Amino acid sequence: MSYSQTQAKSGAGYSAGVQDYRLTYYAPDYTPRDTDILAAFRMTPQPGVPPEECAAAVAAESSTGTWTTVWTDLLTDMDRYRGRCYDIEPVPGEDNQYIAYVAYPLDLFEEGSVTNLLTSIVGNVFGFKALRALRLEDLRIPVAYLKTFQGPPHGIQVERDRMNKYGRPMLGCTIKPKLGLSAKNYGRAVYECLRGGLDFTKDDENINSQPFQRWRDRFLFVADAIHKSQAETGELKGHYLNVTAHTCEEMLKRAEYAKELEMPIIMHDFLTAGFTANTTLSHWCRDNGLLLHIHRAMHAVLDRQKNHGIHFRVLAKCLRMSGGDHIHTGTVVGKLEGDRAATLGFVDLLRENYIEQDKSRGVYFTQDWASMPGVMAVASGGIHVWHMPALVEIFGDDSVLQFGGGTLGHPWGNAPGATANRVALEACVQARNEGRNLAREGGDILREAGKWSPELAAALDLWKEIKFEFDTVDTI
Amino acid sequence: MTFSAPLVPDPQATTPEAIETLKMQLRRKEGSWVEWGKACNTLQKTGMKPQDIFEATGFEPIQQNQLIAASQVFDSMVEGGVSEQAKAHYETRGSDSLYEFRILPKDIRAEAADFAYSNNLDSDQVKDIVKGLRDYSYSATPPAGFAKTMGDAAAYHYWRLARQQGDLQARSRLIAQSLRFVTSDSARSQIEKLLIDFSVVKEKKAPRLPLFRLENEADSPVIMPVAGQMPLPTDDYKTVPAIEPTEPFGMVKFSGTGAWVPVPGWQVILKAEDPIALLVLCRDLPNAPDNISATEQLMVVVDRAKREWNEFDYFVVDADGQLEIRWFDEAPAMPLLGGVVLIMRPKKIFDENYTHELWQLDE
Repeated sequence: MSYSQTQAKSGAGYSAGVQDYRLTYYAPDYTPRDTDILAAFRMTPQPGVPPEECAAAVAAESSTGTWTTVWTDLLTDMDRYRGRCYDIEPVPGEDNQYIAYVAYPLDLFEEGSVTNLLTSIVGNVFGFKALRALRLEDLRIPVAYLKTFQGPPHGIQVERDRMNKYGRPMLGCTIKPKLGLSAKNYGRAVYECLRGGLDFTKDDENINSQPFQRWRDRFLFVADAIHKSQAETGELKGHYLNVTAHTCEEMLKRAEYAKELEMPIIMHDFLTAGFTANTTLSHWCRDNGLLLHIHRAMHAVLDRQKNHGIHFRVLAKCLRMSGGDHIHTGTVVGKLEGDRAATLGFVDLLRENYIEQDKSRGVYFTQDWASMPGVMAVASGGIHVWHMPALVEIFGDDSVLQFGGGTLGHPWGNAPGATANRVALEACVQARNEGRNLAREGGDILREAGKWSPELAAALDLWKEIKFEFDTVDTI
Repeated sequence: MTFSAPLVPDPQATTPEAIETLKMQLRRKEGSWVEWGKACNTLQKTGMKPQDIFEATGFEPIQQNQLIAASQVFDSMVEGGVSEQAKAHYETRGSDSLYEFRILPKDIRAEAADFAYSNNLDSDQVKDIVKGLRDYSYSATPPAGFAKTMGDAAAYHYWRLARQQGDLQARSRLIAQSLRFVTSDSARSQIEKLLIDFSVVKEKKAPRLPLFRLENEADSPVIMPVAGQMPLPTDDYKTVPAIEPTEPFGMVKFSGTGAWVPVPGWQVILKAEDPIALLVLCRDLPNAPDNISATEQLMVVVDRAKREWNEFDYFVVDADGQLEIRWFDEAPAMPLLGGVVLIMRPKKIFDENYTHELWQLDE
């Protein structure tokens, strides 16, 4: 029996325009130049739409193309300015997904502007209807372009020198409840945590200047807490004062006040505030000698879907260019276990100077940061003392480990909670330096330290021991 | 702070004379860096702050940290049986390289130090490979073709990166690094295989086949017979043949006359055992909502196998030879001919151009 008795249809689908894109913007013979900005897009074309057509459309719309031919195209050298899709490869383990590699000439972008970079590369391409989904997985920023950015205000080494803390991760804590505390009670919690042994405490991302706690009051009480705890412990302390505000002028006003109070560090929500505001604040921090902690609130809106949006490694790279001394990266242990390889990939991209391409970790391009300062990775959320060996092993020294509930939830109060974490951290670092295997002996190391520290012993009793293994679940 | 021993500084642990001696030793830079590291460690344990040590000795806090950690690595590598040559070398220099080894477990530090010494690696090169060495040591069995040696571990690190690298220049550099360190013959031949790839001439590729993996059931429409437009004689309803879709694509074989309609493969449709479609105007439905025009064309999906009454469903029944859709508050005496599964309304298009434009964008 024949099933071929069908009526021919004409003019269906995405034919005409898209084929034009392919002719102009798909260039498999093109060898990217050292000065090109390279992008890796994860594409999921609509059924039946060839990946070459989709990739070409992506290259077109993120560079010189528009939905129709325009006569003004003839007034410029399009060949010089067009983006080119130079390679397409299927995503291993995924049937309908492809990685499209696009090269953009440097002249398409304004110097020193992450805002312009993102507006060009991800501004409109996600609206192409022949695509089911599209995700920007990675960018290769050429040295020529990187050198037009200031980068982090200070970087890891300068932060260590300023805070006078070496050879171990920093310890932090987000003050909870995140909203509702009066400025005075808030300052008290900050003091207790810092006195107990933490290096930093932190405003939550949505504390700005609400009726129950205006920003100026919070800054004053926190400054008191810092000065007092520094005097008592002999260590330098900091609190990330969130200066995120509704206008750049207001944001800078709050930053100025933090500087007046001699605070070492302020904080910013870089995604909700936007890259322009963030770059402004980062430049201000470099000029005024304050460290800048970055929170990534709203990131999951962009990076949570595996096949659509922007991967966090791109946002992290953009942040390193726009400027920030710390950024939250997820904890890897616990809930995010499966993403360990990918997380450590972008943690390297934040901290190291030269990172080799390694697709098994989601690093699609070799990235040379040309000596741009590094950004501290911040592991925060849902962690407690039993996670400490894993965190030290995975994140290494140049990180901030933030125990919110893991500090404030201690049965004896905030200061003992902080002490428990500090003892656990120092015990793990000391054991690692002596050559003990944190992966295998982490629990023993904590129990041994708990014998000397009643605060740690109480914390170990309260939270449940966890085990961590090194078999990674590669979800890339 | 209330740290407890052994992490708490103990001023009593060292006599004031000994502290002064250590400070002088550091100020004059007497002894090897290993001794400096131990001296810094001892001073910190007495409660001296790194800044005070710096002011007394000239060793910056960052140097103190490096020397302390590196001297601990040095001790563990000596304990692990490092060769005399490597020991003699690192005793006088290379604290920056040994500092990078702090993340390695004790049992491989000696071997790693020998390896770094024999290959003359500086601290930057050590930093490049140290994570690779650590991860390699965690795997119970080495990757196929590679042996459990430091050389193969370093070679594997670069081989893994080289395999993924398309850029010939970068790939050659990584292969060269891998070949520099490899020790076993089988690993060497693995690496050399990568060199052969250089000779492959890039051919013009044929376009990809337009393959698409069906991702979920809703991707595959269900082909459903249409009994007709109501009002409809009951016999027409009954004579519609049951369909038997053939997996995996739900193909339906059919001969004769009839009308067919594709319906999305939603769960409720897939669950129906003997589904057929009826076309109906809204006014012919019982309890039709006021907000739907009486003349709107609807499609009712009926499962003819669903003949058991319940109070939550509408049913198709025979009324004087004509088909009717009804709801019953208790089990009816008349036979039920099928249960209503779904009533579909036609797609509403706000923007008629939507289906013609390729892009949704703001300029």
